[in-house]
Amino acid sequence: MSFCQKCKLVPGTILLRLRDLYCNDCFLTNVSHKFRACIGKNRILTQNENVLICLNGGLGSTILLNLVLNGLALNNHKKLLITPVFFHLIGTEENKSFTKLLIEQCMNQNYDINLCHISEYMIKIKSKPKLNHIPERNEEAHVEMKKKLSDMSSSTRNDYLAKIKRELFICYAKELQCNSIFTAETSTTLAIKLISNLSLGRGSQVQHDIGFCDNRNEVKILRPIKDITLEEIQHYITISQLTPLNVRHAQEYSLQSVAKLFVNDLQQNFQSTISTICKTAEKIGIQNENKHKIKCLICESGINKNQCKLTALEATNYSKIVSMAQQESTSGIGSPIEQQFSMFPHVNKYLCYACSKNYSEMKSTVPLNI
Amino acid sequence: MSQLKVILQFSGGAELLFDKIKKREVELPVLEKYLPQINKSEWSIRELLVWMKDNLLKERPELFLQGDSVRPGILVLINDSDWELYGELDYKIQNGDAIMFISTLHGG
Amino acid sequence: MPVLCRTGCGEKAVLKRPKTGDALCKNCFYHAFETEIHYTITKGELFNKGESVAIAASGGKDSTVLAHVMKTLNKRYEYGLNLMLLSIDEGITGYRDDSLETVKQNRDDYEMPLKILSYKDLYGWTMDEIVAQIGRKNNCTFCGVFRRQALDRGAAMLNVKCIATGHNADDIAETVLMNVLRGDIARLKRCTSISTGSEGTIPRVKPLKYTYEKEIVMYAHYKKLVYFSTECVFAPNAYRGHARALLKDMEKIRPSCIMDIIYSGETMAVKEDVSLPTQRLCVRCKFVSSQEVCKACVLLEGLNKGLPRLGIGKSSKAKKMLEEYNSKLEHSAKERAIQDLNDHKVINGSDKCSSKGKSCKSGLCKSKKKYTEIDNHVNKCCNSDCSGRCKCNQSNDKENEGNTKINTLLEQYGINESSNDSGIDQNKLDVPNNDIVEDLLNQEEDPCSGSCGKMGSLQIGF
Repeated sequence: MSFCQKCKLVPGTILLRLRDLYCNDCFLTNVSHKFRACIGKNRILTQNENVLICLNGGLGSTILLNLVLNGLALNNHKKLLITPVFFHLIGTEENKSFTKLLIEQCMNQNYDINLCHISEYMIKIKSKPKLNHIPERNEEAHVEMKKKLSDMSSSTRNDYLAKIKRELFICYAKELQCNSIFTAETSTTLAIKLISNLSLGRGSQVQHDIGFCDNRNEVKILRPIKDITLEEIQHYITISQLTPLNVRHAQEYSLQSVAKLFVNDLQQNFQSTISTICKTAEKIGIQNENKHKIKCLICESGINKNQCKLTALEATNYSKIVSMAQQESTSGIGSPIEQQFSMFPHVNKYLCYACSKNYSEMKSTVPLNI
Repeated sequence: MSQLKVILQFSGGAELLFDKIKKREVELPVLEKYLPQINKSEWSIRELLVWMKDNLLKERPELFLQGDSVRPGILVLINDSDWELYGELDYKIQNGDAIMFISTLHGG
Repeated sequence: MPVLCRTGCGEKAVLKRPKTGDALCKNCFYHAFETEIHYTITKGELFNKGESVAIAASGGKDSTVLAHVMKTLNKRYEYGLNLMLLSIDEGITGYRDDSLETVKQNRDDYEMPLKILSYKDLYGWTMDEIVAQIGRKNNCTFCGVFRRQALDRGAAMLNVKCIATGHNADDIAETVLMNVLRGDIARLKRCTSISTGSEGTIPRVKPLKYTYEKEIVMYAHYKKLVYFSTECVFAPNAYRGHARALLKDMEKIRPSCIMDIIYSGETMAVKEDVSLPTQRLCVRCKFVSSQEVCKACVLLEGLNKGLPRLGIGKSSKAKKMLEEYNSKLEHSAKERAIQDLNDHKVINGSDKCSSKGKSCKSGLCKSKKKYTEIDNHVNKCCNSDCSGRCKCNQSNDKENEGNTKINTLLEQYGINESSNDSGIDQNKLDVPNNDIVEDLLNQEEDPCSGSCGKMGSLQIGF
């Protein structure tokens, strides 16, 4: 019989990455340690500050909730010193019974959860979140939102939804007096997100989108379980007998779904895939961070103009010009025609490359507050 | 039922999967008989790929096909034009069509 | 109902452009394709008027199209470039010998001078011979490392200002993904730049950087350009294939993602506190290296010592191998010493080789024999604990001054290399993650890791 490689006292019960053997206790301690270390070493939170904790009932969310509650329940110097404000954003396709289950789950553990509809995004003056009840839905906004999303390709929709959620999380964090937000992104989801985001042209935003802290807004988005893998989460849930809800991810064929399939497959064959991808992400930073005066109106990323004489942006636009006009009219490089045919509306002026690209796919009028 | 003859061409390395023969003329059977289960009478590229898999491609079909289409990275030309302009898999094959498969997956 | 050309010229469209989604007729496609490359060349300031430029030619589609387009644009826009073809013959029977015929065809078609450099001439080994030594598992490491340097050597011989390689947009996007998967941050940063090369080296430029593989193949097809397309006989299913498969699946969903990935790479920055290995010159061969002694020299040393796996995988393994090798040598040290003396006499006579007028001190030129001699000397020094400063081989010392220096360095390197893994390098410098690299090695070395010189850089194959 093989013993736990950590305490070497009891037989191991959990095999990670096909090679590391732990007993239940050591395993749970280790996961919890990863969570605490992640918050601790970054020293971003002040004592007892309000933190908006975003839940969706899924695997990552269930674990995050459990880790937070366990941390708060401690009675020693290790007690987690935050004031949690639980929050759930109701998607356009989410059915009521699911939301009710989530509320129930929370009530059973004696804490409150704030709820809002994602379609509030379409409304300027947003209604306040409801506590432990499904708020009334603005049907007009709901229909408008659905229409807008259905006009987009699935890859754009996924990306755009992520940006909408980010904006709403920040918006409601402010509403609920929180300066920080916890999301339940795991190292598995972040590795997938890195590959997806690269394929969307968001390479310059990696630090904010994949790293521990997104500080593009004064309200910071933190990812405290970013070092915990899906594999670990599954073991954790089994041992702790937690009951995650079955979150349905619309798995349409998209850049994101291909990235997900790819990362998961590769991880099966190479056990260090996800950790390598995440380590790479940690080394990626931001060009001339302090020089960004303009921010993208959708994702708040800094826009860095003219850092390079030639990028894929100029090359694509030029490609568009020569593909549309007949030969003699394209002789001059950098002619005014370049503006006219741009594949990237408002790029580098109001929007970043990727958001501009998304924007070009939106057919209906868009509330871009320019 | 009129006969359906097509010319199949392979290049860019795709011919390596087809006995190194770059060009062949084939006659397609009556579709209702060949694939009775799909209930269609007109051959499209989709069915042609099934036929090719059954009749020409004996080894390692995964190097040529993925799902019900060609593997990404293999270009298809219908009468010397990009199949993306002709509905890809849904293009209805006409008698005498030349269909070409060019691999981009080989070294350069 | 045929689709008409997007430009409104009235012709029937023949292809849908992946970058923009527009349908073009044959002539408008040629024009767009060539004009875009011209745009890349001028906007990216790749060449200066009157320069000599070597086109790295493998006989494959990319380099064939590159040579054709460069020839066309040079004339059309009066670049005034002096173009020539540079080919590397790895010595792979059934692969390279055939593709070289295609390159010779290019030479005649485009009326450009052609220089073929062989591994045999440069390193004393053909790939066939290397494979016989090492087996098929890691041979791509040798091929890739040697090729990269071979291009530099060839360019120096041709006395050109820069080397143009046939890397296309797909290659670059794929390399971005691959470097993320490998955790190779240094290459991730470098791989999207249109022009690479540090001081003192011959820059490489990529005129096809924004040109899609699909269009290159279509262009070659419509223009009836002859190119060579067979997979390298040694490299089926290499690791690069994973990244390629992912990219092709993504391209199917959204063809523009190739440009988007390149844009990601171009606008990405490495965090300031991440230190990257600096590029410098190899102390032995004087070509670019990120280490004191370049990988080519290490690999070559291994081959010549009969330790072909030296330099493959973790350096701790290399150390162990060297130790074993040295202890074996101890037994026959005496005989070797005598042998050495004899060798010295023979070799020192013809010691100085020259490349283009410059005398080569590298000890790399031509003679395998000389290698053995250096190596033996070093090993003997190691074994007798004289730490390189000894005056053994007194009689030869004068003639051998240059070599003594190298010997000392080599010896240090033997130690340095093994200590590389101990902490500092792993944490501070950014070397690819060893775990995954190990994983990969177990499967199959990536043939042309990241920024190879392209020539025959064989991606996934059938």
